[in-house]
Amino acid sequence: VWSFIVLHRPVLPAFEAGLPMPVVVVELDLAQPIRMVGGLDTGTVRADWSRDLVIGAPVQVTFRTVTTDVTLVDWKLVDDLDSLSARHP
Amino acid sequence: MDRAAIVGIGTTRFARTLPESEEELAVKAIQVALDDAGISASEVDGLVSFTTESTAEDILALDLGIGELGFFARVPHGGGSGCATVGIGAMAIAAGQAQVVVAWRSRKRGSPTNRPWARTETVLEDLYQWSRPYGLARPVDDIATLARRYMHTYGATRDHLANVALTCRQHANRNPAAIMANTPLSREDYFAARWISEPLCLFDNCLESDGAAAVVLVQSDRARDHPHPPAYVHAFSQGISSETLTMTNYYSPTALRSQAWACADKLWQRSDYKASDIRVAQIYDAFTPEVLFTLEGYGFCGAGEGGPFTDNGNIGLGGHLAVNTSGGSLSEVYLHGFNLIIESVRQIRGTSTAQVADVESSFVSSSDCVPTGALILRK
Repeated sequence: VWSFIVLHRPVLPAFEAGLPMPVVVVELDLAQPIRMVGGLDTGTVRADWSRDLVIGAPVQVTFRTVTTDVTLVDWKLVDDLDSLSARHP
Repeated sequence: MDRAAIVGIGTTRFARTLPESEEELAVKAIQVALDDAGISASEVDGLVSFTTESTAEDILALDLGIGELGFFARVPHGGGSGCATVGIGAMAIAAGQAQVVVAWRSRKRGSPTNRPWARTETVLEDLYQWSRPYGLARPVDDIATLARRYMHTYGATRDHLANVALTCRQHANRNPAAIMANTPLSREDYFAARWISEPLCLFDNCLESDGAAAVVLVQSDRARDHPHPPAYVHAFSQGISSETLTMTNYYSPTALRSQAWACADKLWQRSDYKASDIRVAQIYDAFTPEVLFTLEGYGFCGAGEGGPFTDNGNIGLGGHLAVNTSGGSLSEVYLHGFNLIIESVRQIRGTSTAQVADVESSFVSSSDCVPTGALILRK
């Protein structure tokens, strides 16, 4: 995680569910300094993101299907990147 | 360059919401500026404004009774445009392309439906398709993303951001024309405010407001023929730093090196004054972190030192560098920074409501989170 914000009020109706809502900027470990904006996948791994979401926290990509032709990229907090690299060389 | 000078300034009243249209506000502000300069509309032969300005030059010419226009130009990039409207007007005069140039900005943003992020097209085709769907929807969200990284990197704190907000408010409290003239702000108020985009709270954001402002430029050799002391356009530059992106600099490999850095190098090369000579600065402040970025970009302090630079009243009246002495965008009015230009002239004239003593030169900048510009005016 390179940076993040937390939204506390809905800017658009689509964002009303799940406030407060973090948005993260992630720097890709294997393609620095390329960065991507994404949502935080709060449904898995860590329930207490407000404690664990810090700059430098390792995250892994997940995919959120919105419509048949739109998929958004989210990120979930993980324990460490080394274990991911080992699983996905 | 000193070849053109601002001899007239004008504004409308400022408010959250004004009944007049942007066109009517533009006409009023320009007429006040022309009266201030003692110049009739028929003498105007040049107009410069923002690409985001809604009133066309031919309409204004009809409204004001301007005769034939020989020069008109627009500067792109919203909050980055203001200083360049003056700089380009001054260049037109220096090049003999115009004799009397008006630069102006009129803006109605008090109503939420007038804000760009109220538009909700279904499909974004531009760079924003990579950030807006995730909730980085407003300018404040982009700046908050940079601000958190900046705070993490350099150790700046919310107390530093509060210093900026409180300083602007204290200056506005001295300025009867400011929207926040009669509304004090305490540090407790700042920390009690609601989040807008964490780590930025309500008071890290500028006002959304209605109003207009204008300046009149003439050749320097006739600048003393007008009622008020001239403010000479001493140095001007625009700037786009290498590998920067409009508002979304969090994609850049040099994310914390803002647009100001490129503008600063050229500005100071063209100026007889150095950053350390400047005692009063009007710094674009749509959001409090921008003031820290800009202080560093123009060398008023070192990289990463913007936060501590705001401590101990250093950016207030009586401090080392008085910043945003009319209240700025945070507490006077938000006109895409054009009110900062007006105040910069007042400091040269000696007529600010938060006047710095013995001002020789006056710095003013446009937004450094978009392609930008800056000016140094002098007595």
